[in-house]
Amino acid sequence: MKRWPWDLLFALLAGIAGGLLYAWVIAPPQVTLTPDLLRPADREAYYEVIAAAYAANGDLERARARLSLFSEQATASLAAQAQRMLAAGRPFEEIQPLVRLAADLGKPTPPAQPPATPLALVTPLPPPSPTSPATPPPEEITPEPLPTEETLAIPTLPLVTPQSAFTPVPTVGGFFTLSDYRTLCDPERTPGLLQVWVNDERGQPLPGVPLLLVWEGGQEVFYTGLKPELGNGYADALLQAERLYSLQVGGGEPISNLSAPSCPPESGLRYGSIALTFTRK
Amino acid sequence: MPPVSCLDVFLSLWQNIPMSRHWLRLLCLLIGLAIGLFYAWKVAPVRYTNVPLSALRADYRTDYVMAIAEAYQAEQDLPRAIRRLAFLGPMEPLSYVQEALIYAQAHAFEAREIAMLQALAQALRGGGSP
Repeated sequence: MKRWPWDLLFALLAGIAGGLLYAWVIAPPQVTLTPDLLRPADREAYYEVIAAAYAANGDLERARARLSLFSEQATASLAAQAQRMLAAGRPFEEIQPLVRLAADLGKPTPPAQPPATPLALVTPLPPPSPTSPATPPPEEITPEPLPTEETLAIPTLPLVTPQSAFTPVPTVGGFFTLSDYRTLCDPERTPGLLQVWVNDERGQPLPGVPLLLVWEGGQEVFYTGLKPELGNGYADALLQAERLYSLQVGGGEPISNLSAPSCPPESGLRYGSIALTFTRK
Repeated sequence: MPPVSCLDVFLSLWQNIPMSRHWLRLLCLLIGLAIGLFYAWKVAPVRYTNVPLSALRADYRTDYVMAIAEAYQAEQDLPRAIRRLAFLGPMEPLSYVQEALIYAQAHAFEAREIAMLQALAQALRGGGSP
């Protein structure tokens, strides 16, 4: 009777196991361990140190060279890390170098050419999506205004002075100007919602920009980028009806006399929402 | 005539090979070893992920310490520098700076870079900033 060669099969399997053990555990191939392979916590520490060094010496090329050790897109990674730190409640002083480096990496390398076409002063918002109550402004300008929205002039009413407790954080590399102001009577949007988009001079969203909302007897600081699903430069707050607010973006000039806008009866809403777009100059 | 399978052919062949059983086992072991090595080195080699900072090559570790020293020069915040150095491992923070200094001197870093590392090392020794 023919006998199955179990002993040889066992020897073959033992040889395979020995080979795997040797090559995977005992003598794995020697590779250069680069920062690209770092675990997330150490990678964030490295990014933070690179940003801190850049804040110290202002050497963008050196920072760029250091970031080139990582295969991922540096600007997006820095911005995402800044958002995570903001969400974790880390002090803004720790986050600011990351935001600044991300912003400076996004700038064109000198000699910078001015944009071919100036930014549109007023960019209409897109019609609201039924699934998303708030969507960022579109890149293309839609010529016709929405029937339920009302374009207003930028208010120049008296300023509400910020409370003394607030120390304005320096702007992220420039001043922000209001480039679009809209009031919306849209049932899809929460009444009293203040939506803010902050972009750089090239129209790219800027995360981590502090926004100071001041009203009589109170104030609130919030930041762009905490709702990345709505855009890295997006932030929002809820305005109470019949209360005046002042909004300051990145320590720039405050926009005063903001309030939840009244809506016409046919809209079915008593109060609407406000959408503002700021652009860094 | 009953059907003959491949297995039957193989079994009859190896049972008639004029080789001692021990040599056959050794041969199978070596073949297995070769298969295992080929698979582990060529087909599915070890992939490194989630590497700690301490495992990086010396030049990368030095650059990390260098960046800390640059930041320290402006911030003068020693606890923060120590927190950052702690990512390199459990040893005394000074040892990492000294290691970076040795590397920097051996690889002819610029004098100002070496000076920054020395300033950080001095602060960690308790000498404060120069």
